[in-house]
Amino acid sequence: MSETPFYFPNGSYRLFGVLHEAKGMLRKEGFVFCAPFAEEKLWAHRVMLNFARQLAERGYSVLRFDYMGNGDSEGNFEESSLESMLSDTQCAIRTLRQKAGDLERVNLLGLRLGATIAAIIEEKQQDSPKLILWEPIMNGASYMREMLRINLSTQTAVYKKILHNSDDLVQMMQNGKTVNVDGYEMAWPLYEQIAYIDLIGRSNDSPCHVLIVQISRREGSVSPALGKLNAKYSNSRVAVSVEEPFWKEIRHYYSKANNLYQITTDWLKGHEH
Amino acid sequence: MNTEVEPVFFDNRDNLRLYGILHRSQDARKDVGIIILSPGIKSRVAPHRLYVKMANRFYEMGFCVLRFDPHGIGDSEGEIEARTTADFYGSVQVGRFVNDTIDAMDWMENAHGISRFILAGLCGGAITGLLTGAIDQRVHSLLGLGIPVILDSAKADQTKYMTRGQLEDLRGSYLKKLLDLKSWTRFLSLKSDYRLIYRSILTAIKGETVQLNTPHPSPPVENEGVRVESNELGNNFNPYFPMALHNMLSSRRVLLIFSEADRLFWEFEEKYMSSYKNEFEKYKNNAEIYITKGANHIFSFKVWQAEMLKASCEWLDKNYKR
Repeated sequence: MSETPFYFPNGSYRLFGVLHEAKGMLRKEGFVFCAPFAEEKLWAHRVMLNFARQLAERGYSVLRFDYMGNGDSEGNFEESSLESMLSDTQCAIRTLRQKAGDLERVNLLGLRLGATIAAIIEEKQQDSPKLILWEPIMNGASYMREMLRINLSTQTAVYKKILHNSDDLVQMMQNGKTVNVDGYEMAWPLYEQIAYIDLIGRSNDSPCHVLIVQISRREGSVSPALGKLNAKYSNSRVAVSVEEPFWKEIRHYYSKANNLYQITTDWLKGHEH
Repeated sequence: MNTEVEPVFFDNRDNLRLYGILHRSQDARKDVGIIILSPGIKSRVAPHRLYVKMANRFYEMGFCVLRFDPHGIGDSEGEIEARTTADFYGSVQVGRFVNDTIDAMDWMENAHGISRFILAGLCGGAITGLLTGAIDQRVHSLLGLGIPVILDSAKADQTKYMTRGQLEDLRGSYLKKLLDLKSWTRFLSLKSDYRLIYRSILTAIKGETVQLNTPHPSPPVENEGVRVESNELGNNFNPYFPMALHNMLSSRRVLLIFSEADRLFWEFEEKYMSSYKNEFEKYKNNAEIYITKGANHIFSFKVWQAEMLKASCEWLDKNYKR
């Protein structure tokens, strides 16, 4: 297996990516991995990397990349938006096709907001990719409120009180300022565009094969929201994987999510030619 | 950024491929380079891309800057065997990534002809830089942000990550001090960390390193950028810290930048300064401490980042004028 780090252009900036390729028999399908949002990406990095390595061992070409303003990619986070993330993902798909050569299909795998981005991108793809959604963000507005709560917690820790409530923070962004979330400066276009996402509300008649995985600390039933998302696709499966929420700081050191890997690999085996 | 920022990789001594990003212009200075060391889990990027911001600033000053992932971190090969994050951080604090750092310096020397280094890093990166500096003279100075003085885990095997020779280099200054009358006076008046010295003597006699039986602290919890731990101030002081710091300061420069609202600053004050203030004073020409007012552990707010970067760049400018 080879792993090649490289920069590739998307308009005026360069994105950083790592191409994982098997040696020997190569499948005619590849995967682009869509990373989760901001700091969640750093916590989940090794889990994503190790699954990319597993897929490469199975013969898939895999491209992991950083969105503009994230990780090692160029640009500033405050300049990023959902639009730029979608554009970066499409650029990554094109780049994988160029790098890996003769691919019949580029599939998408995403975690959290990355899964949501993968689902949106799939609607625009012509090659009916396989879609793997790990714990997708269903409602952008709720997710953005979660991000604002991080800012409120930081205010409480630093100032011992809240100087600006959530409404103030939204107003600040609308007035052209940024809001700090775990050190990332979030601007209005990013906030507004993500807050607009309603994954269930989007119309979709996609024929592609979809795996939706709910990640839970304990065994349990699928949430109603994921059930509804599952019902939107004609060829989909929803599953529950018992794992820690490895996209945030947790007590356990997490570099692999074996239950999640197993569910995903088993599903893939059922769809491999 | 521009095209002078490129991905690089090299193999460490265990034949694991380590990946990094090199920031280097054609006319970058070759007399000294900067290596920014991973804080821990968050790789060569660090929280909210702090290392990207640092590297860009240092690069603009004309330095060649490498930030890389040690084994088992970020994109690099290898795996971390720790079961908890506390165990992982504990292992970093006793030198898990020292040899990777030495291997990175070897690579920079062979590939880019740079043989003097400023090691920089936040938290785990700072302690890795300090421990490396204590045993490798190519380390010309240390820029440490929020350096930890404690061990996050009692399970940290203090003999696992550094060779016997490296540990002896670390202890060297302490054993010499035993022959110094003033040190004995200090020891008898209980101003020294006699537990540490006792163990150093024991080690010298037995010819092996003794495991410290430290109580297991509660795992750290990230609370919106401030690392919080149980408030016990038990015997979890890192025995390597004073040895390595004094070793560095005896001949090389160190800038320690702390965040005012970070428990790591309080621990530095309470666990190190309260016992070693006089010793630290002896090296004050080589040591600088800067406190970023109100900042949290990861310098979340832009104003804190700007202040930290300003202090770092001024120190670099003062000590490394072209």
